[in-house]
Amino acid sequence: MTEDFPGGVMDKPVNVLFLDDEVSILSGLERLLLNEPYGFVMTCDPDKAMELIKKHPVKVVVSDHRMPKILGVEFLRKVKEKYPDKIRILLSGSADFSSAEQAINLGEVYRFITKPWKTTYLKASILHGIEQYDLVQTNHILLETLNRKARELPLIVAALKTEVDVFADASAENQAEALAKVRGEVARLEHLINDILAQYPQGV
Amino acid sequence: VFLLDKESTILRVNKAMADALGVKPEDLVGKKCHDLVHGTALSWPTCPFQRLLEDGKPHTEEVLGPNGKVLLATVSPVFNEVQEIIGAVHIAQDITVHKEAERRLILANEELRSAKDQLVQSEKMASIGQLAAGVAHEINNPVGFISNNIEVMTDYISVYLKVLGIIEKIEQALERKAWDEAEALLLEIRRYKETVNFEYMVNDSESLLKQSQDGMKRIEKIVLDLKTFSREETQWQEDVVSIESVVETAIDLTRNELKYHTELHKDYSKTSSVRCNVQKTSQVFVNLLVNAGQAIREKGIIDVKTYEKDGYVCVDIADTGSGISQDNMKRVFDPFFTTKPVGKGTGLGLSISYEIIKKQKGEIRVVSAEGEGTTFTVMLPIFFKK
Repeated sequence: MTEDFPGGVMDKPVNVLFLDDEVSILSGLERLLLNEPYGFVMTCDPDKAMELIKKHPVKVVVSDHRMPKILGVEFLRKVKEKYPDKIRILLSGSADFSSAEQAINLGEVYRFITKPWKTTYLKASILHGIEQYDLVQTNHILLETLNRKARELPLIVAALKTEVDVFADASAENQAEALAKVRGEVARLEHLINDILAQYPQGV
Repeated sequence: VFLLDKESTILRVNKAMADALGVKPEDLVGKKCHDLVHGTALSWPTCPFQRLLEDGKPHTEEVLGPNGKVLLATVSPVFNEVQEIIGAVHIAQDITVHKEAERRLILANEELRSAKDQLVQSEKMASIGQLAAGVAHEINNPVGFISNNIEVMTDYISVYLKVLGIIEKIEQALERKAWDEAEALLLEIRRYKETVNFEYMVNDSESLLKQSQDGMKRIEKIVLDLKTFSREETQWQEDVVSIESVVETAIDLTRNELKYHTELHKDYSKTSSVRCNVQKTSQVFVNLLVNAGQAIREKGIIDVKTYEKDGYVCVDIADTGSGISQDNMKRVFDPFFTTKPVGKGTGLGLSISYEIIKKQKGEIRVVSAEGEGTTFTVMLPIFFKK
C-alpha cells in the first residue's frame, strides 16, 4: 500500500496521498486509517509524491510542513498549479502559524491540521476533502452537460421558427406535413428543456 | 592641619582647618581635638591618634566629622631628640564629596551588573526563542504519532478482548462437550477476525509499541537537552567532561534549526577531558551553530571538528556561509554588534560566548573569508590528559 515502506494490501481505490519526512508519522497514519473507506499511498519524498499523484486517482493530498527538501506549503502550491482540483491538507507540527495563516488565506490549502492531531478530526477532514472533491467533480460534469444542452437551445428555436414560417406559407395540401414538422421541433424543444431541468438535483 | 601634643591638645592649627570649623586659628589652640571635631569629651573610638600613641607609626582613618562630614584623618608622629613621641601632626581632609561619589559609583556599578545579568538572560531567552519553534516541531512530531498510536492500540485491545471473550465461550462449550456450539463459535471467531483485519493488528502491535517508545525517548532527550541549556544557575558549576558530549547537546538542540538547509559533518578525535561549565559551554556551541546556520542562506555544510593542540582541546565549527567582512571582523565579539535583521539577534551571543570561554581560561578564535565561510575555534585547557 505504501510506496516507501511495506504495508498491507490495498483493495480500495487510492484516493489519498500522504507526504511526511518522518516514517513514524506515516506508519502511525497507516494503522489509523487502514479501515477507512478509501485507499491511500504514502511517501517521504516530495518528487515521489508528485509521481504518485499522477499514477493514482488521488483526491486529497496531505502534507507535512517542515521537510528537508521542500516546505509543505510550497509543495501544496505546486500540486495546486498542476492539479487545481485536488484537495490539499497541511499537517504541521510547527509552532509558527504565520506560514499556515498565509497558506490558508492565499487559498493554498483546504485544511490546516496541527500535530499532534485529533484522530477524529483528521479522519473527518480527509472524508470531507474527498466529498468536496467529488462535489466539485460532479459539478464540473453537470455544468458541462448543461452548457452543451444550453448551446442546443437556440438551434432548436431557430429550426422551430423556420418550420413555423414554412407552415404559414404552405399551401393547403402541404399544411398537414408542415404542421407535423413544427410539432416535431416542439417535441425536441420540450425534450431538451426536460433534460436541462433534470440536471438540477431538486425539481425546479 | 593641626599639631597635637600627647593629650590631644591642639598646639598649632592652620587657617584652612580653622575655616573649616568656622573659628579663628588662635581660638583653637589649647582645645582638645576630639572636643572640637567630634564634640566628645573623650577621644573618638576609631581615632588614629590613639593607635599612633601605641605603636608610634603614622595612621590613616576615615572618621565622622562635624555636620555629618566624612574626614580622612592622617596622623604622623612627632618625636623629641631621644625618639619619644611628643605629639602628632594631624591632617584632616574633607572627603565627603569623594565619599558620595564613591557611593554613587558603587550603586551605578551594581546597576550595571544587574543590567548585564538581565542582558545575558535575555540573550539566552532569544536563543531559546529561536530554538523554540524548531523544538516545538521536534516534540510535536513524536507526540503526534504516539497519541495516534495509543488510540489505535485502544482499538486493537478492544478487538483482542472480544476475541478472548469468544475463546472463553469456546472453552466453556468444550468443557460441556457441546461440539456444535464450539464449532459455531469457531466460525464466529474466524469471521470476526476477517472483518477487523486481525492478522494485521497482531503483526502491527509490536512495531506500534516500538515506534511509540522510540518517540518517547526522543522527547525525553529533547527535554533533557533543553534543561541542560536553560537551567538558571545561581552558582558557577564546573564538571570534568568530554567536549564532544557538550557539543552533541548543542547539536541536538539546534538540529531542527539546521537540518533543512545544512548538512552537518562531524569529525571527532578522542580528546582529553576538559573542566567546564557544561550548561554555559553548550550555550556557546548553540550560539556558534545557530550563527553558522544563519550564515548559510541557501544550502551549505557545517563541519564540527574536535582535536588537541598546545595543551588545549579545540572545537572547530566551520560553515560554508556568507563569511565576515574585514571591517566586521574586528567587532564580532563586541556586545550589541550584529549584522542580523532586527529580532533575529541581540548582538550579544558572541560577546557572551567570549566571556564564558575566557572565564574557563580558554580561547575563542575566528577566521573568515567573505563569500566562502567562517570557522570559529573554541579552545579549553586540557584537564586530564588521555
